[in-house]
Amino acid sequence: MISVARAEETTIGVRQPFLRRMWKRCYRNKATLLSLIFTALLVVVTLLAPWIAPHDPLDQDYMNTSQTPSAEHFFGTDNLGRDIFSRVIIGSRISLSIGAIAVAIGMLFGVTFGLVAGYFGGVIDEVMMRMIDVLMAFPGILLAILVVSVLGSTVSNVILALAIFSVPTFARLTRASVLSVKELDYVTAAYSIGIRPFPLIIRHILPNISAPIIIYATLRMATAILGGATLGFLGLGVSPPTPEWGLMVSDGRHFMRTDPHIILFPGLAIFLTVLSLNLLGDALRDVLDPKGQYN
Amino acid sequence: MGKYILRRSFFAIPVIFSVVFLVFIAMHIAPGDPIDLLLPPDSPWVSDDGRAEYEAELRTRLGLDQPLHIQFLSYAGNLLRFDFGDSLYSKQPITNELLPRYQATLELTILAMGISILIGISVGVLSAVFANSWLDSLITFVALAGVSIPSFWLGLILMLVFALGLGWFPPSGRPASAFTAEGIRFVVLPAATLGIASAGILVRITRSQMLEVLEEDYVRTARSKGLREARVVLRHGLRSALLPIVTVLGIQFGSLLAGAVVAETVFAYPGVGRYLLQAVSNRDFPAVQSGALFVALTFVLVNLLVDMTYAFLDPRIRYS
Repeated sequence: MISVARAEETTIGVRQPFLRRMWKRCYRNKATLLSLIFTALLVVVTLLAPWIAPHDPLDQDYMNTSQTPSAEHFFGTDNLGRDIFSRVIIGSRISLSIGAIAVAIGMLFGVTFGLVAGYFGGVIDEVMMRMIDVLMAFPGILLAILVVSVLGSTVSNVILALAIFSVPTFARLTRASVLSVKELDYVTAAYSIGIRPFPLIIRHILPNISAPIIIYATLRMATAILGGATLGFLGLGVSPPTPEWGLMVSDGRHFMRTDPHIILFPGLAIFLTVLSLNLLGDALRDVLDPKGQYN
Repeated sequence: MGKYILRRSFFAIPVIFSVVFLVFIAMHIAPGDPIDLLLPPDSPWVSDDGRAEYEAELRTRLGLDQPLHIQFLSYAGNLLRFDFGDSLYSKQPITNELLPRYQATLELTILAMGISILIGISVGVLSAVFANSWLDSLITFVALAGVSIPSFWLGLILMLVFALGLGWFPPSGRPASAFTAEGIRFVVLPAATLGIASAGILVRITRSQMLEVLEEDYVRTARSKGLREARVVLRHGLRSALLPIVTVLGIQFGSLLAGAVVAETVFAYPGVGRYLLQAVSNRDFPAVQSGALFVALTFVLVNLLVDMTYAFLDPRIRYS
């Protein structure tokens, strides 16, 4: 009985006052508020990028190379005279979509994996988790480097690499959550009235483990954007002259001694984007999971 | 304890085997003939006339004309003899090329880990002791910033300030081992670059573990006995909080090992990561395979070691 009560409390407790709790959190914690504003701004900028960017991001102007920030060029120009502000603005589309798509794919496969392994258990669980162990033996960005080196460095391969990199952690998180929910009375009840596994998992288990998955997806998005930028910097991501943030830093480093502003702004864009997503993830964790169940 | 070590080591074997298999099969997963991956049309290593001949030679030498399982067995057999094959680029045995770089990367990683542990645990404890104060908020924010900052950008800025600007450290290279008077100055900036993100993670984990532990009854008992606060926090608090931190250290070591590629690229430090990257751009696939394998296998071994440390620290694990 206790477990049923707790399950209800979690569902209702999470759904209703979510916005109000988020608001309260923002009120108390200014970093959360700022990260929320920054993320919202970023989404708007990404959507309206071509209309916001004052110059063509690929337009080279040899009369005005390596200019420091001015009213004409807010972030200055790079060594080829391209407007850095416009490049950063347009670049947000690339970085954000790489991060979002990679996490979405990683989440889809990881969560499915975790649901199946956790629900069915036994040999299926054992085999699936050993597969995940093998993927996890390639630490950090190594797997992504391997994938891109085999398949070639294109945007879609970068996304694929980062997605594969996200699968294991989503799978483990989901599996652990399923295991904790599976034994609750309402699941047993649903099972006993003959609900088949697939609807049972989708309708009864998944909604109750969505909180940790949402929290994790936000944090993972930060990691994926950072990973995408790192691949770009290493020359394994999108190719020039695409205004990708990591690539912009890589291109600018040869002129760093005389024109540090060329690497300053794209790097700052990555940093602030990742930081605000991480802050947002932390805030979501505190709001959605006040008891720290999923830590 | 002996039995636990044996059992845990035994579990590592299938993982190692699968890692080798995955790295081996990577070459065959790519669409098309593996020879196209080894010798792509734009490959700089072979002229157009010599191509067919070299292709045939390579096919026989690498055994690509054999069935897949035979290929895998001979690949794995060679690995057991520490033979990683020859680089397509330099025609040298990869083992000879990798070993000095491996040492360089290990030195870098170990120093980065040292920096990360030193900062991470001490600042994390400080944050927990002053929980919910302004200091705690500041530390929590800075730690998250450390996790969020792109390490290649941080590295460039450190280089700009401390090498090019102030001239305290050399901007690049590695003339000698990091553990010599000559070499240590060269590794400081790369190790700092690499260690910052990991330090941020350790601060967060140490803080949350300490907060939990400091609520325990035995901590209250220690306090009520009249022990000094420092002793309570360090002897009774940190000691039990260390256990979960050790597990995270293993994973962190792996991320550092792989993340070293960034620090190595920024500071032109000749390690495995940079070798791997050069191999990728040279389209030298055997070298890519071997570099990846070195890193992954080291990570598996480190995790094995961490699990054993963990069992040593916490007897409950040994007997379960």
